[in-house]
Amino acid sequence: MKKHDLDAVTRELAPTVTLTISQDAWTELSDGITATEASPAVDKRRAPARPRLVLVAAASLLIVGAIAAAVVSRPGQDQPQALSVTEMGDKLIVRVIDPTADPKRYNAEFKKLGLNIKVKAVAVSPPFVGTMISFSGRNAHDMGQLHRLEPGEKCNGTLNPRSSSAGRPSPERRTGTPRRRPPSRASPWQA
Amino acid sequence: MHDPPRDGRRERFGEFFSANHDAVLGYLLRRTGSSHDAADLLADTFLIAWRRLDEVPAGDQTRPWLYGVARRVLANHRRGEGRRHALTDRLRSELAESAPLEPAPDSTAAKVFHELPEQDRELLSLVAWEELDTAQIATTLGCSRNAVRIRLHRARKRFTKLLEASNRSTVTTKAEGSR
Repeated sequence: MKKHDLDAVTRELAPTVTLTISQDAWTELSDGITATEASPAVDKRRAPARPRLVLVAAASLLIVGAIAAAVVSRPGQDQPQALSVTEMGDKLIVRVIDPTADPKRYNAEFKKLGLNIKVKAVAVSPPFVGTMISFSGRNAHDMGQLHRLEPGEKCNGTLNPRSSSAGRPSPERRTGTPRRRPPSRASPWQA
Repeated sequence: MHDPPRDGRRERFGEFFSANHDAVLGYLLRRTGSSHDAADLLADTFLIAWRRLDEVPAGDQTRPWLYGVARRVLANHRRGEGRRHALTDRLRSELAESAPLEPAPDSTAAKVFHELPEQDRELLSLVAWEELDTAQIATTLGCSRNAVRIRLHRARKRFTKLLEASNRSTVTTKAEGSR
């Protein structure tokens, strides 16, 4: 069933409301409400602006670090930090300390920092394992534009300072390169 | 002597109260089916808006924000946390006299609709009954627009599936009856 047909069916299910309320009744209620004590003025001190994450200039862009090595869950072990975050002016540099960590750990650490970033693992073909790959896009077509980053190449859209306010860690800062090769899974960074 | 900031606040409250009281009352009537409850819940909703006046968004987000408050007030009411307001006496009696609510016909679609989870019903109703767009629903529900789109898509899918299943069973029953 088409969307508008379904909405029409739902519309038919609404109980019919006929209001014949006098203006006096409304005024009485409004006056009664405003006669109550209003809350004290809201404290307008704002929380300090959160530095933007380097990887998160545009909300729907995806950056894939084919840190590939096994994204293995190792329950029960003592888990050190999977990410390291360094503040740099109004940006944050995120380093992957543990490239084999479960994405849940990355997400938990991002959440702990108050950052709305989700990481999920996707499969990549073996040649991509151990390399940095990127794609950015807002629709299914864009998502097909996955390509391997050449040495020194900046991540399209997200990490290019000319096209966005975000920068990116210099290649030597990226610690997402796996120490192992397959299995062929990558951790895309989804902002 | 009047306190100018308080007068300014009253004026702002008065403006959005006048522009939205019918819509919020309609929202509450459609969901409670009771004019008495709706009157008290309306008072609760606008009392909260008055106390949190600085948080009330302007423009076309005001009404969905009020629906969001009404929704929470309604949830508290369903948990038995309702209260009666003396300030709604007149409104309540006018509502009682005018019989403002006529329930929807008891159709198959209505039965199917009530089989849906509450969250699905609320989403579909916000679209079809309150005529809110995705951004406004996001304000009402306090979630992202993307989440609204996804949930709405799933709600429509579930509703369609139930409707189709219900139609199929009706056809089967008729076919069996005609044998």
